[in-house]
Amino acid sequence: MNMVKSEHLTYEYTRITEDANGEVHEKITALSDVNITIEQGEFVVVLGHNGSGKSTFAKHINALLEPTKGTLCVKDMDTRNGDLLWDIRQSAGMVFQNPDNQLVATIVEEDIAFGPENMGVEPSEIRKRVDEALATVRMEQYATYSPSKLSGGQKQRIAIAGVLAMKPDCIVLDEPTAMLDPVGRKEVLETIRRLNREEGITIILITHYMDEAVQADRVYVIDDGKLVMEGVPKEIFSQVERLQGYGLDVPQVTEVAYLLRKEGIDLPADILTIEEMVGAICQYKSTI
Amino acid sequence: MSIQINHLTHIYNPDTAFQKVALDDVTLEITRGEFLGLIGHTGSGKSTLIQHLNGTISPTKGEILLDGENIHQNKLKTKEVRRKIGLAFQYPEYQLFEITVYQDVAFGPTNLGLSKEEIHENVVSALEMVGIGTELYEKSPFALSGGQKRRVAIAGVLAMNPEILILDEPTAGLDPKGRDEILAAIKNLHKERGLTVILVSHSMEDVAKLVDRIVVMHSGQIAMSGTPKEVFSHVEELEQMGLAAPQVSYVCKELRRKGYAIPEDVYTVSELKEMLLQMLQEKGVSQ
Repeated sequence: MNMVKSEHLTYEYTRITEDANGEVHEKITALSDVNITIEQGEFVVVLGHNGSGKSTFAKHINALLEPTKGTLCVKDMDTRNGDLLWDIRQSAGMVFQNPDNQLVATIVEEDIAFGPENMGVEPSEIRKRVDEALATVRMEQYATYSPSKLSGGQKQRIAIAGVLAMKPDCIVLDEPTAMLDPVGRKEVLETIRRLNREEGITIILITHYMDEAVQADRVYVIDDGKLVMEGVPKEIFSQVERLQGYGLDVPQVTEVAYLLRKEGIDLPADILTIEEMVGAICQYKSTI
Repeated sequence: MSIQINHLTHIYNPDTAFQKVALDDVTLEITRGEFLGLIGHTGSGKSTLIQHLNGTISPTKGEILLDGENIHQNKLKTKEVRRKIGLAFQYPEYQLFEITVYQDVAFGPTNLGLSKEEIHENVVSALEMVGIGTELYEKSPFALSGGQKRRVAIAGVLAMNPEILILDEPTAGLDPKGRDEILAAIKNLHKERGLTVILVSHSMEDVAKLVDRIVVMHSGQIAMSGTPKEVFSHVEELEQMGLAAPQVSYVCKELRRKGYAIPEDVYTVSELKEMLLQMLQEKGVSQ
């Protein structure tokens, strides 16, 4: 089944800024004719530099924005249909960059209960969902803590648990690790991967970290509002120059392999991990 | 200009249930012209440390000497220190507020009571240092890209003509291009202007590329201090402290384990490339 399907998705808006001469109106096309189909159970990463339109795309999935032209459907529900708004938001949950902006309650378990409470879920069922969600993100022992006493990675896991308590089919995460230290990043990424593998939840992850992107099933690259690349990580990251042209990085090992290839050393172009790099070097040494 | 930190201890909420020792007997010297990287996981004490350096908070115990003088001795001294030591907080672009880029950068020097000419000179030179061209002077700072906004915010600190610049996570949340622009600007400030720079970062890749010395904070103490080469050769210890070394260091470590003689001082992409090129070509020639 299609979890998310966008057809000719275009989004335009007028940006109004002020400079020394008064108001300046600028028409911005944030997304232009984007066609993306994400299947149920996929782990998808969306890449693109700041201002490329990837967050605008993410906000369409949660029906925070409505297409100017074209359509976006979540489980065949058209986001332009206001009657379906709550069904769409329940199906596709969203986690944002700054954990401090999305936790609302003063106690962790109350924060997680906020979503289902608003949906009118029975109290006994809420209790069950909160406990399950806390167990899934491995934060049971923090149920009665204040979110302010948690680390950034723990806060993001609580934000994810809050989404889980709404029983979504799909979670969209917009740079969830950008403000975290290496440990926090690892915790959050492991949680996301486990949700995908064990709970079968479709994951759409927006990130600037290429080591996160290499773990995805599929990678989409958005540049200047257009979908410019699409493929499995190995297809995408073997195109080092093209990615750099879009203002993106490749993993350090991929870059080293690319530079060595340019010098005439015949290494595979699709090295993405430390193990692959070490393996390729050992193999190269044994063949020459 | 050197900073001498002597036995600095800072305790938040002392004598309450929430008492927390954020800094525990830290002693550190930072010399003129140094480019220092300060790393540590969230809560390790690095932000508390830099907030002491420009007098935002005061020590519970210990002292900080700037050229031999205690920076917390009185309010007047602290004010003077804030001019000499510029601090760019995390997400400094949240502090932009003026109508134009020029006016925003001019805010600091204007408050220092400088003449119009001096202000102009400072603003132009600060914006030039961070690579913001004259065509953006009259633009609204809010119409700029994320990387540009952050460079304008850093220019606002530079316009006060500090001798020491402290940057707290200057690349957090930026895309790769924005990050490279900021890092290039910082590198330039250190090299061309001889500014003493303290860079606080989670990104080992950034730190490896730029700094002369790395200080690793852990549980409010200095756990390691040395050149990037020295620090990144302790991959296991870094991981135990919730940190990581650059990906390149892991490749070297794995290759060493496989029996290859990899030198200790390889920790950036270009160094690894050069080293491997030599290693792989040598073998080819000898056969």
